[in-house]
Amino acid sequence: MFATSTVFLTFLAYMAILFGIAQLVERTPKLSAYLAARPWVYALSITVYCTSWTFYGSVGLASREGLAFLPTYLGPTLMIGLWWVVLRKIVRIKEQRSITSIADFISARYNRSQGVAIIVTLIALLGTVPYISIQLKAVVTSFSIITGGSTTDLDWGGLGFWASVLLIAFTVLFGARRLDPTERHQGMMTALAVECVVKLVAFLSVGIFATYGLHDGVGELLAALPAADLDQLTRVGSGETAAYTRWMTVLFVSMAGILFLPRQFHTAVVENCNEQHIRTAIWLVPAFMLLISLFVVPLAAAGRVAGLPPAMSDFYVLLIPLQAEQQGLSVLVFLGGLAAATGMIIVSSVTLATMSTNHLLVPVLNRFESLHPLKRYLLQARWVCIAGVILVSYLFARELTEGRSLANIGMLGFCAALQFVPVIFGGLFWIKGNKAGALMGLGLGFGVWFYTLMVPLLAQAGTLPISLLTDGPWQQGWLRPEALFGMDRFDSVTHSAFWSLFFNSAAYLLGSVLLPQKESEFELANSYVHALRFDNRGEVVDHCGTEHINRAEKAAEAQSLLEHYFSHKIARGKVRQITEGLGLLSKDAISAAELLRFQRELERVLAGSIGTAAAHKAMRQNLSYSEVESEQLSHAYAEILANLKLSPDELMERLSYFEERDRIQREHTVALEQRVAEREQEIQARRRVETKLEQIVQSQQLLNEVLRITLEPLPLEEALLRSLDLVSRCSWLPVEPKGGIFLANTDNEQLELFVHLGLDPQVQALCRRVDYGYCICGMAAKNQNLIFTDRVDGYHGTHYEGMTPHGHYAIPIEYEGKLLAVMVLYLHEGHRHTEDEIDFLEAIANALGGLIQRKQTEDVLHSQKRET
Amino acid sequence: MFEKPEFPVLLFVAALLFFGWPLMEIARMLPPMGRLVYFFGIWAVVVGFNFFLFHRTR
Repeated sequence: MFATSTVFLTFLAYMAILFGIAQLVERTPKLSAYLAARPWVYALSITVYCTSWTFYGSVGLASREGLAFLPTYLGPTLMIGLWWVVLRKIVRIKEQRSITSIADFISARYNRSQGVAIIVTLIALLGTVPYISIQLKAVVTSFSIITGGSTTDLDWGGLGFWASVLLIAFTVLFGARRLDPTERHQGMMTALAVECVVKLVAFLSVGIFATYGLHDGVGELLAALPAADLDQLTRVGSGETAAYTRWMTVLFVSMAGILFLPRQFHTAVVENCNEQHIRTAIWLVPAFMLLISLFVVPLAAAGRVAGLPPAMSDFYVLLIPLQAEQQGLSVLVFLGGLAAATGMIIVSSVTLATMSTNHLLVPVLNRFESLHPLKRYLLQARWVCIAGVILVSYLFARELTEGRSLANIGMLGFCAALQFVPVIFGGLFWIKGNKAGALMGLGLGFGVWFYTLMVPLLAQAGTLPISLLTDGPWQQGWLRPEALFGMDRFDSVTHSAFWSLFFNSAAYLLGSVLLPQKESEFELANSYVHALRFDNRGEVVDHCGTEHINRAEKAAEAQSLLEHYFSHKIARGKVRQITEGLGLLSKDAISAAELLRFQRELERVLAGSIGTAAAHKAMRQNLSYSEVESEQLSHAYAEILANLKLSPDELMERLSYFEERDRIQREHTVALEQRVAEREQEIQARRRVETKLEQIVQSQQLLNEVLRITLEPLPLEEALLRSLDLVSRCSWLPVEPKGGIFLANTDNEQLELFVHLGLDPQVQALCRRVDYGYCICGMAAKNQNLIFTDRVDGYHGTHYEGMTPHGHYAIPIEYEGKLLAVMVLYLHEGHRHTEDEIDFLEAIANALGGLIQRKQTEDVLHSQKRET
Repeated sequence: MFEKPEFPVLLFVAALLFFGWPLMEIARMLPPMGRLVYFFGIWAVVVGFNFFLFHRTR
C-alpha cells in the first residue's frame, strides 16, 4: 500500500508531465506540424474509447458474465471496417463546413436548425454525464484501493471532490485555453495518444505478469480454475437466450458508440486533419482494442485463483499486483487506470462545453439584446460549462452509482449515442431526410431513452418513487419504464435500445416522408449525400475580377461582427490574422474573389467559436454589400463556375454557401423593380395628362379654324369641304381620311350628299340620297342623335362590292333644334369611342350648324332680293 | 477482389455473421479454450484484413 500523499503526488506528477507534453507541442509549431502529420497520433487518440470501463470494468464484467465484455469491442471492430466510406464522408463534410461537434454536424445537415442542435446537445449532455461519473468513480476507487482505504465507503467529500477540481483545472488547461476556430487541439491529442499508450502498456504489463509471472501461461492459469468457473469465464453470460440478445444489442450499440459518442466524434472527426489518416485508424484502433482485451479473461481467472473477492472484480487489475506486492507495477496500473479515465473526462467535457456554449448559450445570448455584452465571455462560459459537467458528474457518481457496475452505467451513454444513428445515417445517405423528421425522431428517441433508462436509475436511487418501476405511472402496468408495452423479457439495455430506436427511426422516416423539405434544406442534403463526389477543386480562384472593393471597409465590418463575441483586441487580431493569411494586408482594394475567401475564412473563425448555425446566421445579419460589390460577386461566381468542371450536385453545393446572400440580393432586386415600376406608372400618368392637354389644345385650334372658315365669304360647299378636311386630319381623332356631309331635305325627309372626301364612287352613287331612318346616316337624321358604330353591322343598310370593314361616326348638324345636315366620318373597325371624341364632334357640328343656317338664310335673302 | 470497394462491406457482413447469434451457436459447442480462440481468432483475422486493405498506400 502507498501513502495518500505519495499517490496524490504521483497523480499530480503524471498530470503535469501530460500537460508539459501538450504545452511543448502547442508551443513548438514544427513539432506540432510533425505530430499532426503522423496518422498513429490520430489513431491512438481515437482509442480514448477504451476508458476505465475497459481498463477496470472489462475484467469485472468477464468475471461476472464471461465473454459478455467482448461485443463492446467487436462492434467497433466491425464498424471501423466501413470507415473509409462513412468516416471519410463525415470528415469531408467537416472540412467543407467547419464542423466543431456532433451537434454542429447534425444541425448543419438539417437546415442549420438550432432546434436540432439543442436536442443533440441535451442528449449528449445527459448521456455523457453518467459516463464521466463512472470515470470519476474509477479514479476515486483506485485511489482508495492503492492507499489501502475502504472500497465500499468512498471518500467522495475529500478525495473525490479534490480529484474533480483538479480534473476541471487540467481540462481547462488542456482543451479550453482559447477559442479555436477549428477546435483542433494538437497538444491535447498528443497527450491523449500518450495516455492511450500508457493504459495499453499498463494493462499488458499486468496481464503478462498475472499470466506469466504468477502462472506458467494461459493454459496453466485456466487449468488452475475449477471446471465450472472456467466454463463460466469463457461463455457469454449465462449462456441463455437473454444473454445472446444482450450480446447482439451491445454489438450494435457499440457500433454506434465508436463514432457517435461525443468524444469519439471529436477525436475521429473534428481533430482529423488529413482524411488519409483514417486508413491507419481502420486497422490500428481494432488492433489496440484486441491487444487491450487479450488479457481480460486471464486477469479475471487470476483474480479468482488468487482468491480475490468477486465483489471487487472491477478492480482485479489493481488488486493483483498489490496482492503480489509489486509496487512499481501497481503504480503503473494505477496510472494506466488514471490515464484511461482522465483522457475520457478531458475530451468529453471539452466537447460538451463546446456544444453547450455554441448551441445552448449562444442562441439565448443572441435572442435577448440585454445579454449581447455577454457574447464576449464565451471562453469563460466554456470554462464554467466544463466545471459544471464535471461537478454534475461528480454528484451523479456520488449519489447514483453506488452498488452498480461500471459497465451498466456506461451503457447509458452508448444508448444515448444510438439516438444519433437515424439522423446521421439518414442525413448521409438519404436525400429526403428533413429537419421535421430529425426533430421528431431525436425528440421521441431522447424521450424514450430517458424514460426507459434514466427513470429506472433515478427510481432505484430513491429520487423517484419505486412504484414507477413496479406498477407503472398511474398504476398503468403497460407503461412500466423497464417493460414498456408489456415487453418484459429483455434486459434494460436491449429494452431501451429497441424502443428508443424504434420510435426514433419511425418518427424520422414518417416526418421526412410526410412533411415538406425546404429548398435550402434540399441543397444541404444534396451536399451531404454527395459529399464524397467533391474533391479539393472549387477553391475560389485568385484572378477573378478587378480590385475595386475597399479592404479596410470590409475588415472594419468583419471586426465589428467579431466584437460581438470577442474583445476589441482579439477581434482586431483575428481580422488581421485572416487578412494576413490571405495575403491581403498590403492591399487597399481587393477583388470579389478575395472578398469571398475573406468572408469564408471569417465564417470559419466564427463557427469555431459559436457553431456553424449561429455563425451563418450572424454573417447573414451583419454583412452588407453595395450594388457594385454584388455585381462583382456575381461576376466572380460566374468565372469560378466557368473555371470549374463541376457536376450539377457539386454546383449546388458551391451555390448553397451563399444561398441566403443571393436571396437577400434578389429581394433587393425585387424592391428596386417595384420602385422602377412605380416611376414608370407616374411617367405614364404624366404622359396621359400631357396627351390630354395636347388634345384639348389641338381640338380648340381646330374648332377655331372651323369657326374662322364659317366667317369667311366662301360658298357653303367649299366651307363644308374644308371643315370636313380639317376634321379628318385631326391627329388625335382616329378617323380615316374620308367622309361626307349630307344636307337634310325636310320636305321629303331625305338626306342629300352635299360634300364628300375620298368616298368610293359606288358609295357616292348609293348614298346620293338617303331616306331618314335608313342606314347609319338616316338613323342619325331621324333620331337627331350622334350614332357610333365600331363595325359594319345590321344597321348598316348600304353595301357594295369591295367594301372594307369599318366603323362610323354619324353626327347630326342642327340649329335651334332643326336638323340641317348629317356629317359622317369613317373609323377603323373595332375602334372604341370616347367622351372627348363625342364632345369634340358635337362642337364641330354646332359650328357647322351655324354656318349652314347662315348660308341658307343668305340664300333666302338673296332669292327675295332677286324677286323684288 | 480485395481492391473492390465492396470488399469491406462483405467483410463487415461476414464478421457480423460470425459474431452474430446464429454462428455464435458454433462457439457455444466449443470447449473453453476453443471459444477464446474462436472469438479472438476471428477478431485477429478482421484486423489483419483491415491492415492488408488499408495500410498500404494506394
